[in-house]
Amino acid sequence: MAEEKRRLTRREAIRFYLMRLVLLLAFCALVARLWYIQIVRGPELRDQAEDNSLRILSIKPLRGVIYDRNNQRVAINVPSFSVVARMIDLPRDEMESVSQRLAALLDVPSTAIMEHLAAGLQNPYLPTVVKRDVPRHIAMVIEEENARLPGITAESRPIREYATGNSNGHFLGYVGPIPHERSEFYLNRGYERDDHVGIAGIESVYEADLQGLKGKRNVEVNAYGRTIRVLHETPSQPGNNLVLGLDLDLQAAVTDMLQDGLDDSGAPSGAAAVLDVHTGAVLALVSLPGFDNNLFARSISDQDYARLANDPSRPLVNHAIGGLYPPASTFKLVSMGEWLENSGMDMELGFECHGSLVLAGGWEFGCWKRSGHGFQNIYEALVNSCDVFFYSLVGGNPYADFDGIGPEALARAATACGFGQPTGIDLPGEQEGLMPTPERKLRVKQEQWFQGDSYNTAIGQGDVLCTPLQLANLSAAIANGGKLMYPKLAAEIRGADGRQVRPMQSQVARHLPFSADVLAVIRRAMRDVVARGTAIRISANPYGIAGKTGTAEFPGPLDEGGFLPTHALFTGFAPYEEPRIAFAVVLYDAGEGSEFAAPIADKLTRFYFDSARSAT
Amino acid sequence: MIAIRKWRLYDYWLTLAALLLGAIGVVLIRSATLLESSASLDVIKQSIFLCAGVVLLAIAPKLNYRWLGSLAWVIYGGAVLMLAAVLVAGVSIGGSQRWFLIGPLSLQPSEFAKIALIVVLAHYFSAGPHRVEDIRYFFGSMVITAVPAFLVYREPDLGTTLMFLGIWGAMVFMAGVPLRYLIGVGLGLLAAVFLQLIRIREYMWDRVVTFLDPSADPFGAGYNVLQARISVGAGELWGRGLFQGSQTQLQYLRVQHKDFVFAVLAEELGFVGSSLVLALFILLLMRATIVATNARDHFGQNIAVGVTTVIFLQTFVNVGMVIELLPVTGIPLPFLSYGGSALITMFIGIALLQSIAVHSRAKSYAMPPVFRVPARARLRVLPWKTHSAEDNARS
Repeated sequence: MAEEKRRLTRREAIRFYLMRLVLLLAFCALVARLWYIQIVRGPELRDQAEDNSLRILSIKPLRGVIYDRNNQRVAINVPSFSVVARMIDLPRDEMESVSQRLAALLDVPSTAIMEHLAAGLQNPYLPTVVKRDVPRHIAMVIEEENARLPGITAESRPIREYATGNSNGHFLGYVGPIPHERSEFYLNRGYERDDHVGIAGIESVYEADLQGLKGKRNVEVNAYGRTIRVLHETPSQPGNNLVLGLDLDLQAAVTDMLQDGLDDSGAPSGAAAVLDVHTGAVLALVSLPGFDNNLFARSISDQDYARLANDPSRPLVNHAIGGLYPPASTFKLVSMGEWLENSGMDMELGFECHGSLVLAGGWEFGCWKRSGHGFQNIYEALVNSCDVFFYSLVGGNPYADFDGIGPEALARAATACGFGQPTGIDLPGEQEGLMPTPERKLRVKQEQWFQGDSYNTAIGQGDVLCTPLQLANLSAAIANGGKLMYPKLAAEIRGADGRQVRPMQSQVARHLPFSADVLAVIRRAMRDVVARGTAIRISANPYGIAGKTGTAEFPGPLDEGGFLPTHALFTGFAPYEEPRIAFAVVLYDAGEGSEFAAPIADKLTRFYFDSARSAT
Repeated sequence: MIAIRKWRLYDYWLTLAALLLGAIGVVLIRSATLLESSASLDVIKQSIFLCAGVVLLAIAPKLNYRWLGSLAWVIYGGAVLMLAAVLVAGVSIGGSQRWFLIGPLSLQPSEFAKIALIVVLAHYFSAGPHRVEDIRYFFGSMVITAVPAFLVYREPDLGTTLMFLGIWGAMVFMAGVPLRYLIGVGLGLLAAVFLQLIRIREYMWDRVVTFLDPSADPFGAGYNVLQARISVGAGELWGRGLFQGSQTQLQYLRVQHKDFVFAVLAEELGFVGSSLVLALFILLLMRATIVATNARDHFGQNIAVGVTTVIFLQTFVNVGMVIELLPVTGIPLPFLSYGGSALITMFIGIALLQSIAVHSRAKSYAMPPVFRVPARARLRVLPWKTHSAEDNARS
């Protein structure tokens, strides 16, 4: 009964040897392969492992704060969270589930999120913003769901908050993601794809100052993109602060006044500019209707944007610099200056006004005062805004045997007064306006210049177009003795520590082609416009307001009296004795300048000089 | 007397290797889940299953594998039923329906079905070489394998399906089926695979493509392959230290405590550590082949061959996948990967080997090499109490 081992047959034994051989060879292959990966390629792959987990993240700097001239904050940064994706940490087969989860958390369709993620694949190492301005509690949930949302982080990305005011959006602009069409421009300048930049207004003009310097953070991250350890950090440097010459309270007050004016006259839009006559500093720059730029700063919704973009009164356009209006009677300031300058102060020139001037061939050019002004010399003609006088002055008067100064001379003077060219304000989107000449008419319209064209041009109608800012700037130059300044919104750049980095020097663009004596006469006439002329309505103003009214006809539906619709204009300065501010007010399709524009100028000067700011 | 003799024949090397591998697995799972909130739960579960494995190995000598012969078809039928049931009532994870949920535990029938297939094929082939050469007999074994293989394929689980085919191939070969049959089937399979490639499921095709060039699509299907390569390579000679691997600790690998646990090992313990683990596998597999050659009957021998095959194939396919010798198939690494069903299945396999080892000595080998229990005796009598009496009766 001895126990024995079973004997294998020879074939069986061979098969088992074969089996063991296969096992050993297979394991030899595994070990050889391990040797190759771990020893031969080990150093290279260890580097890759470190690349995997070591990242250099950029730290976004805080954008500079914008103050007004009285150190009121106009644009500040407020805390906000953005949901950001780094595709390097998001395996592609998890994109679908991640976008679905994010869609539920952020209340955004998952297709939209997939689009963001797909865009992020272009450079998977750089972050892509999936959604801005995410509530804090959602941001916390996203951080907690680390493992479910690889590559997705909620990062603190402050957003801009702007002083509320219906017309601040126009000059301030806003900050947002780099626009698609400008991405190359910015990326070449060291910006990152998820950076925010100034898109319009001051924010875009002073982008370089406001932006600040990026910092760097060397970190170890886990596979889901979460920072595990900070190895080294170079802090970011906040952008410089910007101090504006603008007076935020005046801006708000003028906005309200203009809005009231629009409401009273039923005008759809309007603009006003207030300048410091000596420095060219923009004290207020209002364009209505306006928009809340905080909408843009918080990433505007499609319907909000469509509403703004499709509004016929074009709220997105800054009418103060981008709206073109015929200067109308305000243009008579130029004609008057040109005559006085070139005639050696001939104040005696005068014409009889019977309410209209009839040319050969029966063309009749009417004065705004149908009953006629009677005899008007140049001074009285400006005070009363006699159209017949200025027709005659520029285009000649067949009844008085006077040839007129001619359209070329007027155009030269007007150009020297800033018409037909941008003022050079530190804002994008400025229109240059238009100053017609016979040569230009022939070139552009292939038409002859008629005497009637000279007449129309003389009273700032016809093809003459200008912006409210150009008018205000002209008044400022008349007031300050002939210096046409570059209007400036910015007053100085300050470091984050409050020290001045760079002042914005006031700059003279050119000199008006009028002597000091001529300007003194014009100023006196403008004072009399208010005191006893077309703007007598506001003569009660205690601050020595001087100005010129304008009522600009424009092609449109006739009113019940058979007249063309008109814009209301008023430009001027105050006080007369020692001018400090100049302004222009334009109300689109409002009616008479004296009735609708002048009262706003009255109110704004009262506001300005009533308050303590007159001392500063 | 009997008890002592059994423990003398007990293969301690086999148990040592299996328990060491299981313990290393628990440590690696701990490392792979160090930063996860559910970490300790997975480690505790795996430890409990490891303890269950220890119990299995301890009671293995008490159980005689030979009564499995009479139950082979019952076990097989049960396994097929379970596989069918999981297709109907199982839970689907990641697009594949492989699991039953029972309270906190998930049960993967296809793991246990491997043992069932081994037992039924071992029983089927224990008839002896004279029947093995019959081609109908050969085809019969194909049908036996094809039924569960097809059910698993429908889950879908391509890896386990191939595992079934591998078990069958090795057992058929070791049972002594003429080579020409095998070659014929091999050619047929190649043709079938080729046809299948045309209408293969996308995730499978991705894996094939990914295997050929993982860097072609670094954030897609190739992600894990690439990260596994980096993990393994970053380990270099000595590894980055247990719990110190950046790839592992920062979770660059998905399913790293399951199918990719070898990458954790390679990164943290290096070439030395992973080679030692491979050496443990070799030790285990060599001892398993010795159990096979020492088995007292063909039934035991065939079971040992099957168990050896399944452990070897899974190890080779899994490690080969991690180090980019083979495409990605969801095959766990025996003893090391997280997963209760898989671990228990492996320990059942080792327990079977121990049972075969301790019962390898018959009092006499005058009996025919094929041992067959008389039909009447099969279910009535407990085999380990009666076999010696029956032996005597026969001899």
